[in-house]
Amino acid sequence: MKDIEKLLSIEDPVKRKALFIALFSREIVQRGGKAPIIVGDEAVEIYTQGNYTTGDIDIKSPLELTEAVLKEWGFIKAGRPWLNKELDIYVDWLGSSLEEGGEAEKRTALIKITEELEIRVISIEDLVIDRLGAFKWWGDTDNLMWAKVLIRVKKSIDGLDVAYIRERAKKVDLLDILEEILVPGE
Amino acid sequence: MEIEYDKLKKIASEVRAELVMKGEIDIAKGKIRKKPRDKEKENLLFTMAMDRMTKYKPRREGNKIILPYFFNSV
Repeated sequence: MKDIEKLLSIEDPVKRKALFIALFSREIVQRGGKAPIIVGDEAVEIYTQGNYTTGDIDIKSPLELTEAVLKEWGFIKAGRPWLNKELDIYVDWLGSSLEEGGEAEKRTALIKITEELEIRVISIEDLVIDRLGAFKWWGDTDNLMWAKVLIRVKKSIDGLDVAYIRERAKKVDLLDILEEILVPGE
Repeated sequence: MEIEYDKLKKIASEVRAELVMKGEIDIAKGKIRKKPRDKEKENLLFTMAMDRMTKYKPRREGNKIILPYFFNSV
């Protein structure tokens, strides 16, 4: 059975998407591309281990390779997103690199899905800034809470890089909101 | 009326794909919630997220992160 076909037997859409990303990332890397980076709502879904759910996969990856692999795997383009009806997976290609820049790329996290497969995800610190931006600039009220959740997740893994997140928040005028959700003394 | 869950799931997924294809829903736009949740509901969602984190405690292994909900379960 081809690896991609294994996805059909995974009932849980959160796990199905995670395995899809891992297989897709391996394929891109095997063909000489840079490992894709998961951003946006899908990154929140991964870090919260499915407590937050989303419909599509927001991805940063090399365009030509991404299109080639998705086509081979039966995806079709519907406007900006790519979809595979059978797998019930939607991929939204958002560019080939992080808008946050090189430092944010260096800070991306590798998440081990199996002994052989992994996925690269934007760092929690950068994702928190993204969520706070959605809260402040788009008025997305839920995202303040998800930013708090993400901070707790990062603290439980290996601690939050407070200096870095404050610096990022300052640059994009989000320091006021960040300070509200950081525990005093941090 | 009895509706089989699997059948409903299949129909929902097909309808969604059709609407995306026709451009009637824009999944790329994402969902923005403008209406604030009441405090109780927000606290419940936060607690649920914390409970999941406790049940599937994330950990670091070298330069990688293990999220037990996914690790070796897919």
